Amino acid sequence: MTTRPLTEFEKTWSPGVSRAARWFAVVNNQPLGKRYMLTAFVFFTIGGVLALLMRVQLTVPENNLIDPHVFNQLFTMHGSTMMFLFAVPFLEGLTLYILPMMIGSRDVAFPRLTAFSYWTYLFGGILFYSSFLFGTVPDAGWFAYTPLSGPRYSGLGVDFWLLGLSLVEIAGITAGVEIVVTILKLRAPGMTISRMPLFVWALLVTGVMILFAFTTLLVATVLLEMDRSIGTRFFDSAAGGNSLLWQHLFWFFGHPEVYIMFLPATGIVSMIVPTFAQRPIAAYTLVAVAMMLIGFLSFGLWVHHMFTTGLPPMAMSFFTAASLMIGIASGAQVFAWIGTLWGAKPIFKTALLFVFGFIFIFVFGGITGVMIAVVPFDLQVHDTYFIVAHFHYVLIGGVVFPVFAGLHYWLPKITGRMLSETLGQWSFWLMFIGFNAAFFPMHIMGFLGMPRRVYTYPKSLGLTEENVIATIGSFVLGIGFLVFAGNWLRSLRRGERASENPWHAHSLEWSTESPPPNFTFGTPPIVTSREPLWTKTEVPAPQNENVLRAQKALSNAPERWRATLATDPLKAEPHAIQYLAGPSYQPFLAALGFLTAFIGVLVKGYLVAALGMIFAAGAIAVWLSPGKRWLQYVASSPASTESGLPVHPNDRRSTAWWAMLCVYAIGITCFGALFFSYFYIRLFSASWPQNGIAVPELQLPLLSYGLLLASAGTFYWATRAFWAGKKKRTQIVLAGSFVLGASFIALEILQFSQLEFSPRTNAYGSLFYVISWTLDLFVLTGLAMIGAMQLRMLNFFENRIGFTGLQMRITAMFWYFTVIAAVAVFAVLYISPRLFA
Amino acid sequence: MENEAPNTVVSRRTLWFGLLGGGSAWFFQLLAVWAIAEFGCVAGLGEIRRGGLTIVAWMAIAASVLFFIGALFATFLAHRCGRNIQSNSRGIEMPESELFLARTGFITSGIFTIIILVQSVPIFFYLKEC
Repeated sequence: MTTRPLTEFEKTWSPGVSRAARWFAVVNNQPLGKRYMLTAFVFFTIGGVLALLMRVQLTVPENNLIDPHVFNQLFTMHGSTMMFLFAVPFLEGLTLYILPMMIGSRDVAFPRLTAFSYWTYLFGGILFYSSFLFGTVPDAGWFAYTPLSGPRYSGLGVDFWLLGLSLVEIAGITAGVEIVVTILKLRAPGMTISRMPLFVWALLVTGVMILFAFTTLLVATVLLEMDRSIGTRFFDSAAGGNSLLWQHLFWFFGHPEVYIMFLPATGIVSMIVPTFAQRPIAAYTLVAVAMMLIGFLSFGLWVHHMFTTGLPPMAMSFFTAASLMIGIASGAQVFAWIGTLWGAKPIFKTALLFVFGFIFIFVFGGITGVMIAVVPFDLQVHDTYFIVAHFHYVLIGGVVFPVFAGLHYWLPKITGRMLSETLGQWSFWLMFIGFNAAFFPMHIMGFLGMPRRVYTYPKSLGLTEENVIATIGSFVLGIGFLVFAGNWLRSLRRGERASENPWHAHSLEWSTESPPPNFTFGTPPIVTSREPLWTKTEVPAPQNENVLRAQKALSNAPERWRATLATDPLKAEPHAIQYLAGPSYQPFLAALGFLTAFIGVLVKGYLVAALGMIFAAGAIAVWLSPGKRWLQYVASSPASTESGLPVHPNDRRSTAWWAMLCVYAIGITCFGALFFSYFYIRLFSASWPQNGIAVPELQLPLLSYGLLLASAGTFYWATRAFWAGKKKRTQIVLAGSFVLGASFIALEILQFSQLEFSPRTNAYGSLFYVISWTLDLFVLTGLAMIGAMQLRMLNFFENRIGFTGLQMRITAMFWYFTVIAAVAVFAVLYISPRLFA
Repeated sequence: MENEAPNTVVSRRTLWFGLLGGGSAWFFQLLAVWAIAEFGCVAGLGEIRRGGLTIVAWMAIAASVLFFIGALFATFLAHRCGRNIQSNSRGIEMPESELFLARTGFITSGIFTIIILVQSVPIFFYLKEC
């Protein structure tokens, strides 16, 4: 071990100087990625134990070991844990750790957002599981169907479920933004879109899917929690609401969720197969196409979870067709992996064994998936153990096996120690045999009529033997996991030291030390092929000079602030030097604020909730506000002058610009889900507005929305003045936009006070108010951004081509979006009831 | 930031449209035919016939044709981009990223065009009832 003193560059990248800072202020992707994975594995273990308890109860018929109520809690917590607290967060953790290394970056695009994402995930999980301490464990299933999960039929447990998972969803959405922007903007020079590793392709598609899917779920959980806490009536059929609306919103998230887990898993497989076949992946382009197909198709399958809810047969038939199509895209990937291995001499290490296990199990699960996409078959096996068997074949085969393959593949890089191959193979065979013994008999049980989510079954059903085999299998599977855990712990102390590239792999992460240094790459790498470690060629002449200049400028530099190269999304040519924020307590404090707010809602202490949100907003404001001196110091850095690249570009070269596109996707989904809810409930209502309520008058809304529309014009005028360098005019006109926006809020409050209905009156009232409040939230956020912009201009107007310009650009993008959303809200709430009365 | 990729006559917007246009057309076709079926059948439009077919069937056919044309157009644009890139880069190094995007777009949008066709087949089973 070297004991030389750390250089300034190394100190800059240190996770934190004090113990407290290393725990709560760390923003480096590596420790946060490890924490994410470790936390997810803790939840995985708990979820696994819950599953074993269920299997013990079901081993013999008419068993009374666990009572029905506890059994409901067990399957709810098991499903929710595996879906929300293990699978997606684990893959997010792996992504945060591996992705920057794989694309040649020093960190992810927004390091503090990574920290915020981790803390909200952890707090969400803790809040969710704290229900055990209060004896109010969620028991409405992992999908929490209404009306069972509504205020009339369930207790505080569902609030723990909704609020805990809302925090996890926020974590997921922020991770989605992080993943998309990192991939688009921080790839090494030369890693063009056609040279991206397939794991990165999978993550790009997944990241985009997260933005749409998780936002929909967040909207759904917020609506249900409002029904439960403040008495709105979205899902209350007695007040014009609709229970099926929950299913539509939930499954619009729920089905893509499967592929949000599955796609990164296939990405892992697409990295492992070429490595152990020692040849490039076959049909790279087709695999990338298949990933995009899956990304799209997964959003068109949600109704196949609702075939038994009484939808028109014509509507269901479209979803059968779409469900069958996804088999083609998945099959294309399987053939690409087989094609890569065909004729090669694969090296049969444990990672590859898990890949073979994955292919076998997943293909089986895929075939049963095609079966249940057919309506008549689905009607027969719905809510039976056949479905339990199917989704465990898909999720354990399609996600858990690739995850273990990935762990055996990348743990040497992460820990710097090799795992034992012998123990690895033992764990594989135990898991493979145990899994099939546990879940294959469930197909037969389902065919023979054993219903799911029932705590016991009669002896006369004749399924004792199958259940005994399933229980034994599940314990063997559990032992397989334990052997893996033992192997990992053993390797930390006694494992052979891993070299940089122990598998002779092809991708960039294997070009760094094992484990990698905090900064990952001292000198930014340059990529010239899809397999950069297998085919090293010279950088093509036209780009040579700029690329080498940028590389040299960033070689172990800058010394006092964190930076990496930002490149063009398509051609990966150097665009800018990306400033990366250093350690900060603010992400932790912001997450703590959110937790406080959610606990406030849980205990119906709304003052506490409001204080929590104010605290979180304050922490975020501090986090996003670098000081003038710091900005000047960074902007005048030699790294910028030597490379000829800007540090804070104020246009599409900036990561913030791309993050705003993600915010657009989130905003569009948010309003889209609310508008869908509005029209869906309206469709099934005899009159609209419901219960003879009059359509709101137009005079006041015309004025308020008109003022908001006018604010877009003044904002445009302000930006013109800003880019022309006219400080005074910019400040005055921007203040005008602020006043117009604030007037909108004031008139909204006046409008609400004059309405004859409240959010509690009926579903129409709930929709009217919640859609309006959502818009108001956007306007208030925009006003805060305008206020921050005014403050920035007061003392740093001269930095227009740098950070101040970027701040103006981002504020403008947000404000214009808000105004467009306002036009849509006006059309839905005030115009549509008049058009289709 | 340039909108035109150097060495090519292909705009990036066209390339992205070629890549994502087919999938988007498929998604909106599915949403449209589902909404027409679900909302139309509930609203009683499945009982009204014009030219022997229900209003729901006519609307579903119209939506499918519209989005089929959209997907086909995206496929055509992607194909044209690929062809233009190849023909304009003779003698110089091929712009790899743009060509990849064009080819990927051609395959992706092409497949979605076919999927829209396949997904329209169920309409013909429900021409006279919901």
